Amino acid sequence: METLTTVPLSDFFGLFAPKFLIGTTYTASLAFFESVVLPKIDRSRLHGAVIIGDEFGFANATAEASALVDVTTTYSMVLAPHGKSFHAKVWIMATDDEFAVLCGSGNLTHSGFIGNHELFDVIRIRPGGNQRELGSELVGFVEALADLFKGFDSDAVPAREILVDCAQIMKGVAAAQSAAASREVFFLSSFGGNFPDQIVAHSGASAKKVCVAAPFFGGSFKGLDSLSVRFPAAKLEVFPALHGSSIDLPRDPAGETRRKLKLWSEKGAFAHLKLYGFSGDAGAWLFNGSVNCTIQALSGGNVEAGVLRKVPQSTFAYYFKSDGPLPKVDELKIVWPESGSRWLRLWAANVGSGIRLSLDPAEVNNTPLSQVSVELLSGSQSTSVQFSKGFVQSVWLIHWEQFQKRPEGLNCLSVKITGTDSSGHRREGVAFVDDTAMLSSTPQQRNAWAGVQTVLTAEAIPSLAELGAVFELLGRVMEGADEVPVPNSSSPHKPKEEPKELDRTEPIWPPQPGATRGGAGGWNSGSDACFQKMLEGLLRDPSLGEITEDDSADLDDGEKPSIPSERRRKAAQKVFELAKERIADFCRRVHSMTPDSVRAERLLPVAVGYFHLAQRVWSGTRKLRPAAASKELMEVVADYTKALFDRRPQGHSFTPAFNSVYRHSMFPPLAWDIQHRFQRTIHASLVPFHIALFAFLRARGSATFSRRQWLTFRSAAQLGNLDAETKAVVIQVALRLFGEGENAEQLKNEFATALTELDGVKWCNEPGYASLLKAKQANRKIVGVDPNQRFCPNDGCPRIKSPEFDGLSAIGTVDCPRCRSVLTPFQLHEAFLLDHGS
Amino acid sequence: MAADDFPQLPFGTEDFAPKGGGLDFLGLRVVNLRILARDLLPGINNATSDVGSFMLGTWLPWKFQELCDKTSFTAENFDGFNEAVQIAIAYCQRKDAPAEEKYGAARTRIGVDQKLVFPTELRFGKVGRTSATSIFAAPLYGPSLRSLGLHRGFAAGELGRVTNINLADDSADAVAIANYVDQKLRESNAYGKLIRLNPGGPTAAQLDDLGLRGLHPAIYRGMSPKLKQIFARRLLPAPDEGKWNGRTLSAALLVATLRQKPGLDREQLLRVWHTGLIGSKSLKLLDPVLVQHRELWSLFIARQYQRFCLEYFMHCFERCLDSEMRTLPSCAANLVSEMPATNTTFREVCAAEAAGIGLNGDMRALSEGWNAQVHGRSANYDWGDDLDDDRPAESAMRMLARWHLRTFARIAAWHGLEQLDWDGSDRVSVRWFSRWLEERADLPLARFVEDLLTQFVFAQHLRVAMGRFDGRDVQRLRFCLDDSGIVRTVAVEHDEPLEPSLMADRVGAFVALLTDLGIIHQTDSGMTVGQHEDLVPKLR
Repeated sequence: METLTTVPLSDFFGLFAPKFLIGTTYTASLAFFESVVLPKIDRSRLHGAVIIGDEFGFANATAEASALVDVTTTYSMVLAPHGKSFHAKVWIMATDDEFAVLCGSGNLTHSGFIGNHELFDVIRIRPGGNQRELGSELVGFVEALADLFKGFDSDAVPAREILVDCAQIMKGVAAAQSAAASREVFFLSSFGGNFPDQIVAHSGASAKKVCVAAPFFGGSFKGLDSLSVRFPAAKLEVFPALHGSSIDLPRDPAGETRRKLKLWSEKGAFAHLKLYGFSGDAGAWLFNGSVNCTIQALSGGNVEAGVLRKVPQSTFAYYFKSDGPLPKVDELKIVWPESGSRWLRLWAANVGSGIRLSLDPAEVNNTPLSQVSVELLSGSQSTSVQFSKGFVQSVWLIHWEQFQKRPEGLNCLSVKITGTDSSGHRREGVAFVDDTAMLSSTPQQRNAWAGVQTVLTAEAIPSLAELGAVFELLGRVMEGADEVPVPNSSSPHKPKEEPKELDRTEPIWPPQPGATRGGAGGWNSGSDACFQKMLEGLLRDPSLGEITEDDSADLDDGEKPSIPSERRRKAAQKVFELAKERIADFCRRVHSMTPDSVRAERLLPVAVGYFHLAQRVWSGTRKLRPAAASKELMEVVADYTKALFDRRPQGHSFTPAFNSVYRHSMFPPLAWDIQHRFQRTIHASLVPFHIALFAFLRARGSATFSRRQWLTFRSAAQLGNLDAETKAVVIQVALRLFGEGENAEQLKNEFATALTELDGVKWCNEPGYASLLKAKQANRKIVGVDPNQRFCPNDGCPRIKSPEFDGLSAIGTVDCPRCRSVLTPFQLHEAFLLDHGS
Repeated sequence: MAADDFPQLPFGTEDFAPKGGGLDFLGLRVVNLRILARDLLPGINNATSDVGSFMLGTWLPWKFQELCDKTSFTAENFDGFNEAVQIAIAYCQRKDAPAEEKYGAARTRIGVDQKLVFPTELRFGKVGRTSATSIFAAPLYGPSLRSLGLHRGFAAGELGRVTNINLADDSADAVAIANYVDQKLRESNAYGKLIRLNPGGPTAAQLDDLGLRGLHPAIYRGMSPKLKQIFARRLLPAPDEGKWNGRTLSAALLVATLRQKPGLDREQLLRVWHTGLIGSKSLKLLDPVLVQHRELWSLFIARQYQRFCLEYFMHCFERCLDSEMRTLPSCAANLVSEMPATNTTFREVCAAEAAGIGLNGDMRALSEGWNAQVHGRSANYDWGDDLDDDRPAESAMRMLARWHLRTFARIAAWHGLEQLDWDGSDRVSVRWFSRWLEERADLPLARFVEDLLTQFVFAQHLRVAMGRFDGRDVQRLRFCLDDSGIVRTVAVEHDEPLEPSLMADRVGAFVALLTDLGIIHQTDSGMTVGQHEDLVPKLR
């Protein structure tokens, strides 16, 4: 072996699309994880992901909370309820068919994954293999991790169930393996006892030489002594990492040889590896992992893990090649930061109506807390509330109403608790507030949510896969096609539940307070929840993006704008085309749709979602696409209003039942149909948006503006006159949707004019309305008819379609040539009745 | 990589993080830009500093349309004509060119690095230029030509797609400008050689002649008063339904200021608008619209200084990280150790700054006194000319104290300006930040600095950088947590700590345009009101 093989860890995370992802680490930068590692993971099949960190590392990691996005929704980050160091660095990706394990010395940080000198091992258990025992060792590790959370409140700590489920599928994969005739690879963890004993059990105790390369020795010989005891015949060679000019051992050797390790040619980085070598009559072995040469680590007091491999002597010699004797060094003095308060081990979950906080059962003796402050943080927003007492029981539910406001944003929600425990100690703890609905969602929902987040930030462009997933989600929501998810149903600790019947006819927008599907109210579950969150975000103002080429003349001296690569430009074009194609699909789909009670509730909000998505994608990709034009957006608007507010010709293949309300050549406008058949008007929160669309068409595309569509919308929304307040709201919405790259003042004026014109377009100003007025004054019989039926429905009149009634397709009136009744389309008749009574 | 490709032995790691880059690392500049671009100087940018370039930029597409019939109006023909003319314009601006010597240099010289060896085909590709150096490029005159109503966008192409053919506006003003340029150019014998579809191969002398006759932007500084009036109508429009354009108001404010104090330079002008003081006297503005516009400039400048302060603290923070400090408290303690020990709270820092000009009392009294006394030429002016850059922590803190002294009472004068609250806590609005400072003014200074670094440097940067990252392109993180605490990320292309900066404010370009029109007269000794000040519309 000439040089040490190096592999980017992204190769491991890109191996396959995992169903479960488990990670353990001592310290963590979740900003690093979300920006560098997570994008490398194919989340299209992900059911659950958990990262477990040490209390020390977790406490530090919470400092980044305000910037994080995926934690609590895509993955859960929890601290390990373990009295000593939780130090293992193991990553497991598992599917129903296989699993892969990355085990080594590097923490989940830039240094640990990239910067330091670290060593990792990969183990992969695949179908047809003979690694049953090795697989079982890995399963045992995950089960032991799950057991750390035994007795915890499962509603607040979803991590345990994810671990249990992951162990379950790993067990299945391991069981399908055949047994190995002989073994040369072992996975060892502190759950199996102390490491020297475990190593001896596999390698024997006859090693003549034991080599140790590690950064930490606890400042003493205790760790080395524990090895000497198990390998009494061995000569000890030590390669301590240099911390500047210090090592973590007493200054003078106690019989061991100290050397510099030659493994890396590049010397600048810190040697954080923990590698042990055993060479003797039983062959040579390497043990690589998280285990420092301290007594706490080797004895199994900490949670540690590593991979033991039998290797050729030459390999052993290569890894422990000396770079000469160690220079004169000092003893390392480790100063741990002092803290005025003790860390409170807690977990939190969003249960719809509020936050469910749960304490480590081991903390119960120290409760209740007094003088408690609970602070919620999301992005730059925070709110806090004070309580005289908290955690009277180990589980504490705090309702949203107890806070002045609820931080709402794209960033994750975290909670910080400070208080005094029953022993008078100041305590402080932070937890990420897991969104259990999102964490237990399907991979499609999760992928969709990732796309939604990207769209909502308006600072990046979603991938094709993400955007595709978002549109698929919209399709499922419209059809009410979700089953109620049964989170982690494979858990052996929980009886498998049958999918519940979903009440798909309850309003989906706005989110109904007190709805109980998601648990204790608030968001619905599954795709509906994702949709509701998405729509809420889409209806808000978009955030500001980074300065791009257009603004680059306003940069500071010497700075360059972000110039997108050609690859990015092409990706943007593809993303936009996908959005355009999907909204066209949607319009085609609703073109022949006959609403039922489910669609009646869902169609309008979902359509609004479709439009906003298309608009955001248009706006987000516009600057990157050379061919982008406002006309594209206008086409989307025109297609949208046509799909919902225009009559739709029936296809030749449409064969309704004899008594069907749709026995004509045209379907009525969808929004109008929904209002009449299901008494569902367009919700007030969505009305300004629709007015803005019509105003846009009126102002910018007179050819695509349709009076009939506008009048239909007026009926479906039961819209009265446009007062000043409504106009102001509409203009704000319009600026948000159509204002990018436009002169705001000019646009405002255009919309103000268009709104004034639209206000004048009402039923009572239509010529047919005047005809009805005359008919009423003349006491003639007025009959509202479906404009598509083209015959008089009165008794005695022939119910045969006749061209005499063609005028009904316009917004007018027709006199029946036989009974002399005045026939008029339903919509006009209805508006007339509203004004003048029957 | 297949699993089998993984070594069956312990292996080392390789870098797989995206490359570093980005700008505006605290995400604060976009709000400043929005104030500038929407309210103060909309529709122009820092490069649009020559009226002549607007004139030529208007004429070029107008001429193309005039030369074309239905069949020749193609993107290909436009590219040929446009590139040839733009190469000729740049050629006339080379060093020692006759037009350059006669009329002086354009302020923004576009495409002058082109490599032109005659005979040559006048195409960008042949002379080493790209569309980024076109006059119509976004960072140059493209958006401004549309904004001033001299262009009306791009011609529509097949399937509703937009072509790259710029369309001159057909308003009387735009046509008059184009005609004026065309008439001038026709005086050259070389007109027909260049100004045609498929331009021939004009000689260097022919291009120079065209340069002297109208192809050099600086010629138009001497255009007729009538043309100046026409262009001024575009640059400084009359109100639209009672609403004045920010450019018009800024021009009126500039003239009103210079009438009271001729000879100000750009920096002094902005300080007058920031403080409302000319020396120790107040700037007198009679029109309430101008008063409010001046307050908006004042708010904008405050926002500029606010951003500079916070980036200054980011600079200090990164210096600490470079000195192996790994936690926010240790960085805060280090920064405080570089400040005078006499001040133990932020309020005391503010009081010490105010005491420097003889003020005492509570925060309101100090702030009111500061606003009444500290003008742009004061030694203690907010920008901190007197502060020592070699003591960055102390300078950042003192600058912040001065910002608070200015802003605390000033917020009342900014009442009604929505920009005061723009983007709230997300982008640290002025009011939100002022309140934040006041709420923490009595904390121990180390704690105050720690909170400031935590909220406005560490968390703010992480949030902005993470929000912009799409997993595919550039990594914006400058620092993040690591095994040993917070470290600078190696992915960032800038090795040095962040240098704080002020956003370029377009004032230079705007004043240059007003100078070309004769509204302002500019010399080395400052600005005065020019002979054509009447081109600025009267507000009443």
